[in-house]
Amino acid sequence: MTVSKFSSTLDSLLARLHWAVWVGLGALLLLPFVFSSRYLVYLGTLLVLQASLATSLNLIIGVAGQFALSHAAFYGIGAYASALLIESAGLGFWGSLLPMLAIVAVFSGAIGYPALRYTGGIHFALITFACGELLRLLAANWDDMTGGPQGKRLPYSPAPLLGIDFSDAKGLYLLAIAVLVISVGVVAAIRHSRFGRALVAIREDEILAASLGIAVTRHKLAAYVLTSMLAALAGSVYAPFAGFISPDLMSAGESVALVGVLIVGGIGTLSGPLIGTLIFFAIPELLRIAKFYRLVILGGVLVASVLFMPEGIVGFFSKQWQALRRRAKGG
Amino acid sequence: MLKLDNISMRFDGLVVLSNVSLHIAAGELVGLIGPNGAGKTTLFNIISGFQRPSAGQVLYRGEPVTAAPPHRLAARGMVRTFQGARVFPKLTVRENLRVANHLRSRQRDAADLAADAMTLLGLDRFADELAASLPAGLVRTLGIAMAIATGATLLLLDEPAAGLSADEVEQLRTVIERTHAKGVTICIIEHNLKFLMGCVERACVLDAGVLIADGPPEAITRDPRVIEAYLGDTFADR
Repeated sequence: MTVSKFSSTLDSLLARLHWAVWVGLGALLLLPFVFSSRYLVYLGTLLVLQASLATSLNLIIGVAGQFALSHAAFYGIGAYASALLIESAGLGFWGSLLPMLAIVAVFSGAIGYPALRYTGGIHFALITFACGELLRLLAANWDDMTGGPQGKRLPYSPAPLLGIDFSDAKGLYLLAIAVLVISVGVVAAIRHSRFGRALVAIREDEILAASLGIAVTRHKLAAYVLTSMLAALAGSVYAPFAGFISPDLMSAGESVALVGVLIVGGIGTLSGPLIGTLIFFAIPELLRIAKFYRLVILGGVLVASVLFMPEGIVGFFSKQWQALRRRAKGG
Repeated sequence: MLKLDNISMRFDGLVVLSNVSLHIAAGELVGLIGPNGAGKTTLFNIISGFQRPSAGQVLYRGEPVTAAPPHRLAARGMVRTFQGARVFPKLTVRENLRVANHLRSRQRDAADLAADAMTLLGLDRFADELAASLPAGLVRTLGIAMAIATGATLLLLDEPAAGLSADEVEQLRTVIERTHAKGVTICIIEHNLKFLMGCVERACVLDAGVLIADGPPEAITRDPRVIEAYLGDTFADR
């Protein structure tokens, strides 16, 4: 085999490696069906919903470069709004989705517009944090609507659709996967679109972006509203899955944990939020046997990944992969 | 195309610009010169919407645009570059030009315009290099290519020749002349007078925020007020 032939074979193998990651992640999603375990289906649904949340948060933080800390609040609003629309307005689960998304768009627009128009940077983080907490407190104190701090029982499940029954755990797991696919699809499509290029330009240099004709506030606001709507979509699936919602779902700590997921997995990368979710939430679950040491182990993994891979696991390996490809191409 | 009507700018007690009035017709190639601190970049900031003047009005294509944000002005064809070459360092040259093409990317000639700008400025060879890895001269060139790739009809270039080698300055002159020949109106701030006076049709001189001269380069270099405020005897003797 000549050197150039070897190089091109190596390059094509490396090009496929990129897809191998996605095939591997897809295979992981099938595990609960393969082993037919109720525990795996339950854990899988939780992880898939967390991965959806991390993926949508990546749009505003990773792609647009705006540090939002209200993601858990919109996850909760999605859950509460769809539950209230179903129970009080008499809508079905599917019928509640569009009005719920419209409500979230209005809320996130009302928070995002002043925060992005008149401030930005650390102030945007602070405003979204404060508004997220305000929404949590509203949920905790509006007893008649939300059940107050004790939470609310939700005895409903989505009506069957396309022959899939969503009244059992496996059906809801499939629904959670659908939300993840939508989130990944939306973020991937945006990253390769005109809108996505504008967001990246804003992330890199707002002044230059504006001078090239990009409406900075409008683009950032659109990204924030879209991010919040995707979080709410995941929340609307969480409600029938858990059968119970409480204001704890909306705590700022959950939003901060999601930022941790992005940092570990790789901010701005497409598969980073998924890998980050596996590490951040699956490790403590898999290490249950180690009792309280599991959190110490997770802490060690987090510190090590931040110290040795500051661009995140996917960012780090992607860099190595690109260097390998360059070398392979160079023969 | 562009009319400045008694533009003044004050920062607290400091007067940076004082009643500057200027008219640039469509298709002109104008130089804006003056000593450091004369208010040239502040004037560019006001024209391009990055700052609002304390008094006065900016008219673009006959309409007042004093309060218009930069992106709206860019959408109407007025695009500026920055002192010190501003590009997106983590993106490749090609990606930088694609972003610059944002306004036109729905139009059919968008890709051509970016490719033209890349070829025109000799950036083809570096298309897939990160902007951060380019030498300073090429980064500056990329900044200009990006402004051209927007499809601007009025280009405001802030010190485009600063830090460029003699060869690169010559290349820049060619690019400016070619862009101008396509009908683009250009206004350049520059300290490299040899380069500027050789390429503009008209020069305006700012000193301490006041427009002290406006005319053809030959007349400007002989103007006693300009010689005293900025050029000095050495340039005038050449």
